[in-house]
Amino acid sequence: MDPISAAATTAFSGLSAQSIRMKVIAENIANAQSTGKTPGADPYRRKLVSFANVLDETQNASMVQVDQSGVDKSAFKVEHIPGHPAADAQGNVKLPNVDMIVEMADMKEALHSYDANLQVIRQGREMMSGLVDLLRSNG
Amino acid sequence: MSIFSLLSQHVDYLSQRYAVAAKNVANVDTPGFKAQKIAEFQQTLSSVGSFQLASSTGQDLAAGDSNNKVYDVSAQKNSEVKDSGNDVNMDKEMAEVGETSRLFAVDMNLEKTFQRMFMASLKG
Repeated sequence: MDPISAAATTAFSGLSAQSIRMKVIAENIANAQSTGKTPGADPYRRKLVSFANVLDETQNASMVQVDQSGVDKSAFKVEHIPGHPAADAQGNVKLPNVDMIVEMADMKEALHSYDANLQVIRQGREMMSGLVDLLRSNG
Repeated sequence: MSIFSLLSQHVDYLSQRYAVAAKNVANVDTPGFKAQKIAEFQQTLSSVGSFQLASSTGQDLAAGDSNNKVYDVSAQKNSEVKDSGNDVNMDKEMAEVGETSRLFAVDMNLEKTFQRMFMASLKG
């Protein structure tokens, strides 16, 4: 496989990694208020993604692998809402450990990385078409 | 004819350089990933040593065989390392991709020009 195609494969794996990251961020934001249903139950726990660099043997291209199994182990927020279905004996409700500002910043970062990979693909395509143009101008 | 061989070697070098930059960009958020760089073209050319434009003799066809050379890739060793152990500098990589693409376009234009000259000399 030629390096330009291998580079495109790498950049595409970067694109999909960033979109999975975006999906997890969306999940966190959507569940920012998801509490448990029974008294004292744990609410939604913030999810995390982690990336790893792996080599695709068949294409000899470096790829980005996403691990979605991570969770944020930080403590839940606690609010005093006595009437809530998930409130414990003292009337405290555990709320998810999702911080909107962190999620927003993460989202912007994912967007930038996505754009960067897109730019790499765009330039690669330009190079390829320059190469193919050589054949055309030869006629 | 050797200029064509040199150009094709350079194009091959650029595409490998582009692949290295693509790898760095894709791994910008990978913990522990170290940014990489490819060896310089001039260095690798002189280390091959079989290539001289001035004395273009019968060895030109043989020089074409070395087209599939794989260039050395080493760590960039950037001073700014993130907490995750990743040292990819995004601005640098984007500049690298742009630069590679520009050099590629220059090569393509050169190739076209030399082809035109070659054809003109054939047609008389």
